[in-house]
Amino acid sequence: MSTSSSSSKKIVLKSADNETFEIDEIVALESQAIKNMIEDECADNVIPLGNIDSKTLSKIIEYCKKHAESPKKDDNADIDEKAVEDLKSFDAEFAKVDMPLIQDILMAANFLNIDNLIGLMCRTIADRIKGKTPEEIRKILNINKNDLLSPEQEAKAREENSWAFD
Amino acid sequence: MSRKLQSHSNPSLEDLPEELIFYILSRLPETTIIYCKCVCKRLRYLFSEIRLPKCLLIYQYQSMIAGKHHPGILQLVEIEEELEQNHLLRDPFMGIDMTKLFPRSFIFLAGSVDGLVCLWELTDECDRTHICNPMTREHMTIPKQNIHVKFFLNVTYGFGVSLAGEYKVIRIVSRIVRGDPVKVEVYTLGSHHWRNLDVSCKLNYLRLWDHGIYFNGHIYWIMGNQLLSFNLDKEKFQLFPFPPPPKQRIIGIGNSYLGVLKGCLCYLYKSDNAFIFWVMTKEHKMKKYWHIELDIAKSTLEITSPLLVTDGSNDQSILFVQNRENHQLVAYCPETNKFEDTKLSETNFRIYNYRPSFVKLQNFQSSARIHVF
Repeated sequence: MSTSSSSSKKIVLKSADNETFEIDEIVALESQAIKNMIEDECADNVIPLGNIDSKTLSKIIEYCKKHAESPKKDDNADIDEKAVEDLKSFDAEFAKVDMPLIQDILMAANFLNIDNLIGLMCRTIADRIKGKTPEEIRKILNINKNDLLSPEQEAKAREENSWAFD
Repeated sequence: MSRKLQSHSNPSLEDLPEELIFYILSRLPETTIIYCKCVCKRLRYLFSEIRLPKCLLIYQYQSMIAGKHHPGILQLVEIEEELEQNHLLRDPFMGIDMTKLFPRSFIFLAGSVDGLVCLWELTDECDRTHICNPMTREHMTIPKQNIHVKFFLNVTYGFGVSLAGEYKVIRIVSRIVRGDPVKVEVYTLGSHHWRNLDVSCKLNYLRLWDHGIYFNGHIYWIMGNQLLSFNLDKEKFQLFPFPPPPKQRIIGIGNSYLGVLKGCLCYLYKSDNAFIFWVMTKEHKMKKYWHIELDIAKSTLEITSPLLVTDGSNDQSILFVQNRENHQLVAYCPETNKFEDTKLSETNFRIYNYRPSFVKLQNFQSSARIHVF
């Protein structure tokens, strides 16, 4: 994934499955972790991200590109409403992916320290389980069988706030 | 911070760092949070550490002057953090209809601290105080106080927790017979009796229907043009002057209010042309220092009465005002100059800051005397 502008500095990210992504430095700076690496000059030409697969990484780059292009709130107090709306609808579209990918993006965003993306993914997860029953929440969050409570533990948990289960 | 990352194979909630799970939970309505408790082992374990979101208790009730004995509805409203502004989220499951608990009584919300709510029940036959936790749905009646009243204008309450961790209810009674001295009683949760308290300062001009505001180990009331504070540890009253009111206008009823803003005690004063928010920045050698935190032109809030000022999310404040014409309760954010309609309208509202908690009433009384509703 390369970009058109040739004048700006480039950064190459390498995914766990060895795919490389060349991006503008300004896009990479959306990640506080990469920003710190660059500032500390411990980033080589290629930054290996051994725990992020290419599918997740390309989504993250898509997000960072859009957010890097958008005018920042603190740059200009009277930033036009249209840009804000545009970014909001981009975020809403961006979050329309399946739960495993959302969790992958969230983990990776947490690793790369991209605050806005962490917030967006957490809100998305919260919105999907809001108002759902425990059974539905388990399904949505893809809870492993080994992680479930024993029937006795679950009965106790329910009893503690029995009013909520009526 | 956990940096544990698993490969794409099968991501699960189990892999998320704690702070992210808390962040997700903090955005959920209370009922969903409770459901999450029985979703899996990890959530069950984390549940003991969940900090529930900042909420408000809104008590809606009909005017007592009408003479009908009709308790109101207690609503739990959550201040949800949106990107740029506050948003109020009403959990539809959290409305508590007091009629079911106390049919044919006047119920007053007398205060709230650490998730516990103090309720005052008054009818022709009874004058009782109850403590309830809306999250665990428990309530209990505390022992009878020594002085009984028949009229709501005779009493003002305070409810708070001392710095030593004792929950106390304080009741100030006056005007049963004209000229009677003001009497004060204190009850510590978990004890068997109310205690009479000697009062050294004169408690005249207390706004008796205005129950106290709890803040940082003290309860505060407005008394004429002075601030009355009660230290819950020392059980002593103190009087402080308010910041100078503009001109020499008398601080009339309905022109001054207490609240908590920017983590400080806040005194809201309605002048001729503005709402002025003073906050108490520090205390030094018995002197309190105030500065003006906010100033809103009165025209912005025409025909409204303030009810509560409180901190919202993102360093913003929320001022709850009631429209005097259509009785609508509206939340106004001075920083963004935005109004949010709460979709609530009733003759009377009482609003309290509320930190939901799962504090069990068994901590204070034998479970035989605790009712679950």
